[in-house]
Amino acid sequence: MFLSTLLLTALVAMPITPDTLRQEQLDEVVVKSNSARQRLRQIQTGAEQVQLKDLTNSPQLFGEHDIMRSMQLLTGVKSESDASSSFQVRGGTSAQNQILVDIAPVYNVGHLAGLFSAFNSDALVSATLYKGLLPAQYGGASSAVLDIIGKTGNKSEYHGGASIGLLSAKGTIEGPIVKNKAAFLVTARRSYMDMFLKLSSDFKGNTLYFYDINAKADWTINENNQLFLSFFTGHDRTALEDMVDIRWNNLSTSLKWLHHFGSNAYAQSTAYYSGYQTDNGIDFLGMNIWFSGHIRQTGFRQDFHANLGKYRLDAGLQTALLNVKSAEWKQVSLHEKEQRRAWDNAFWLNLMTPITKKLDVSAGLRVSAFSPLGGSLYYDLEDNGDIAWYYNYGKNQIVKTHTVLEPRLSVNYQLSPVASLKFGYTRTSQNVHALRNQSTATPFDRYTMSSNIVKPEVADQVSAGLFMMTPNQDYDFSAEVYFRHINNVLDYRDGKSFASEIEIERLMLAGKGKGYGIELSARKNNGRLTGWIGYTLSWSKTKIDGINQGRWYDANNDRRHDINIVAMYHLNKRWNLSASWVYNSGQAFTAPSGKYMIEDNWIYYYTERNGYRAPASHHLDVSAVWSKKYRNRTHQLVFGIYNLYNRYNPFLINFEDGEYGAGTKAKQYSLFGIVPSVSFNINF
Amino acid sequence: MRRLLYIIGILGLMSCTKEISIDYHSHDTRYVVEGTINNDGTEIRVSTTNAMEDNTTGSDVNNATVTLTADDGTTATIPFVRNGYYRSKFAGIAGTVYKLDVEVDGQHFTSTSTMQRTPKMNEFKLVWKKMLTERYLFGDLRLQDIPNESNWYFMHIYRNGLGYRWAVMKDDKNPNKELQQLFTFFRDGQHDNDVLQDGDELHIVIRAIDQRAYDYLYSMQQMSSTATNPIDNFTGGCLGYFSANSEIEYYQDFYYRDVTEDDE
Repeated sequence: MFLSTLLLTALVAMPITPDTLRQEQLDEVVVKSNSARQRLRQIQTGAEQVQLKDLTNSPQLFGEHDIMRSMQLLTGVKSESDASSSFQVRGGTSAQNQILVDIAPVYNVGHLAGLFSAFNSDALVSATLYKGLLPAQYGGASSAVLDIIGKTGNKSEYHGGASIGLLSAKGTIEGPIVKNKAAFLVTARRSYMDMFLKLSSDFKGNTLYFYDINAKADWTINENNQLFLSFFTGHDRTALEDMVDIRWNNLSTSLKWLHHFGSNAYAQSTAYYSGYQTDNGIDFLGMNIWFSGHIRQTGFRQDFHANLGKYRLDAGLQTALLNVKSAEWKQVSLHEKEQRRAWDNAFWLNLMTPITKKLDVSAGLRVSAFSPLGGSLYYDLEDNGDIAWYYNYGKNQIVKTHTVLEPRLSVNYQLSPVASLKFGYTRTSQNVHALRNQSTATPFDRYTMSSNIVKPEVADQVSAGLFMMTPNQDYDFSAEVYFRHINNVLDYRDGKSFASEIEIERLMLAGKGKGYGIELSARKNNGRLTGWIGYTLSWSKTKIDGINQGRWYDANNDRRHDINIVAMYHLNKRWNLSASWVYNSGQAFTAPSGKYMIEDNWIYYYTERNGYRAPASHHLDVSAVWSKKYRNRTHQLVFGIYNLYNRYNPFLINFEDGEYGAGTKAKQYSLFGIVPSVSFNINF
Repeated sequence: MRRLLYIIGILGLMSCTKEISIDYHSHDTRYVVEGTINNDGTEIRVSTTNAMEDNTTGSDVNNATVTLTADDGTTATIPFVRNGYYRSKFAGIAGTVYKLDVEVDGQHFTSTSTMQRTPKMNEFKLVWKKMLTERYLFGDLRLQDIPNESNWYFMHIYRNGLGYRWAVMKDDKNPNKELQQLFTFFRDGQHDNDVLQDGDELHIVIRAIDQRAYDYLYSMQQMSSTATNPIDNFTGGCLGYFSANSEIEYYQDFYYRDVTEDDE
């Protein structure tokens, strides 16, 4: 395997200077990964935080320290597939998550078809995952929200670094613009597998690379005012000579003004832009096909925060213009495009307060108002998906406004100093929808927005949990149950795929979904050996009239059992060891139950959607980190083995005919066997 | 599915493929009707679905009553011949709408189709195309679109009388002008019965079909991606489709010396 030979990565880590406001907020509302007491007392149930500086503690694929993969090791969080960067939470799909980088949303978080996360760990401070139970200041996703905070530069002195590995190279520079007032940080990463391709006469015409750039500047105007400018872009390209060219890129930027009103209140004003674009082309034996799509969003968000005695108040509003191109394609003289715009507004109010010494409450309301705008065609559909009537609204004319009231409630009752009960209820809505034939994200996903036909996805989730710890906080335990119901969930009509029609609403049907399960977790927090065991038992189902005879069916991301075991052992001051074992029981998928002949071909007959189970997937990953501190720098060697016992896990299952119908074979495709890696880090 | 496999494949990342066993579910047998009427006559095949492990082709239905009705009021009963086939010299006329009725064991299935005009083929050639380190054989079929109307085409390549490759396309890519359809045959060096041999007879049939038949066949073509049944073409609950079509045929004997090398 080509990539398995490209695993030596040298990394340079930079000192962390967190974005003070956001980090301040996070410290208050988010469970620290190593604090049992905070997990116990935290009102918000289902919130998890990963500190970037802790990433080296768990084994990683290809030696990359990756925030998305760290998230996947948390209890109740599932990876999409063996090597995908995307994650799923409590029955939702990755397309129902929202990922924010310094407020701006990012839509496709994978490089190289998802093998690498789009986020360069050198540019980030921390990330907080809300597993569906969101405070009112978050919205736009019917499943989870991941809030990622970028790192700011050092205001007193310059630092820089570079790393060169066989897989990718990174460079970082940071320092003051005006000493002790303003600072910048720029970090860039690029893979260079394409350089190896050029060494081979057979592969030199091909292209395979990704890059990403993160930049952040901040300016402390005075003790009450601070500005932050954040920029992120990531780009992927895979080209097979002049025949196939697949590209996608993310771009997001935000400008934030933080103003403190004394010590107990602040306001934060953020203007942001986010763009995700795919471009794919085929030029082959005279056949020329090109297709693309995008999601663009320009918005403004205003946050207010006040500590009023025992009350903590968060309020805000957000307005954004969205532009979504579900598809545009050209083939010879055919040129079709579907692109629409919308105006998205929300405002919120959230109050946290202790009711009694033992009872804490966080309650809020978010109001979402989403208005598709005229300027492009809208239509009504017949039951069979044919267009019955066209509507041509004027440019910027509001076609319809979908208003959703989203109450949020979290309650924490302290049973004793070492035990608490938590309860939460959340309604969330989502207006940007992805349509996928498969359970994983690809550049061929199509996106659309709520319209006169498509309604917002609205999810209601209730969750209750018991949290306990030992008096010395060495161990803590949790058990959470949840039930999630979602309206207006979308799936492909039978017989339709992404290119069947340019009008995406003709491809899909809407229905309802539900997910429920229990998440159990046990952690050891102190001592040489730390880690956790997580177990999730879950169900995720969908019911849509017109699909599966209108009966409930397992969602294509449904898995019954997920086990994560993570262990970290501090051997001595030089060596740290870690291991993780991940087990996922078989994922739901669709297989035929019969076959018949048409035109001399065996055609499969499907009786149920997602009615079969793929084989279980599991792998053991280990790593050993050797560190040595010098006067002004630290060297680190990281040795890792992904999939130690070389298990071939299912990535895809395809059905293939034997010769002239002589037997149907189910073939499982796997991505990785055993993958050793080594990387070298310098911190200075 | 194929697209995803293709991306992963060209990234060189697929480390292992293996055959796995599936405990296929049983299903209630369904009827399958495959009907065509063309310039020469009518042929209807009635069969049933098989279990996944059953590779026999003998699930023929020999007791159906098959009736064809034209929109000019002409009606014909299509007689049973053998092995699930019902044939007649009842020929189609372009522009006529035909209704096919099949009655079997108390069930009644109906579909309609409009006879299209005769298509025109421009060229068929065989081309080796190098992709990374491998050469692949492609069939490159060019049609001349029937002018000044919407058209849908079904192309079927038979090898020594047995179905080998098929595809459908509509003329919206280049209306009134030349249309192209590529067929992937096999990889150079591949060793199985899918590989063409010198002297093999290639029989190319091109049909101009109506939109209903196209929609059915296109959804059938997408099944590896959609993992769903094709859209319904019949009322009454049977699988399959009915097409009234004009067609042309082209015969070519395959010889490796005739294959050209793409030098793009």
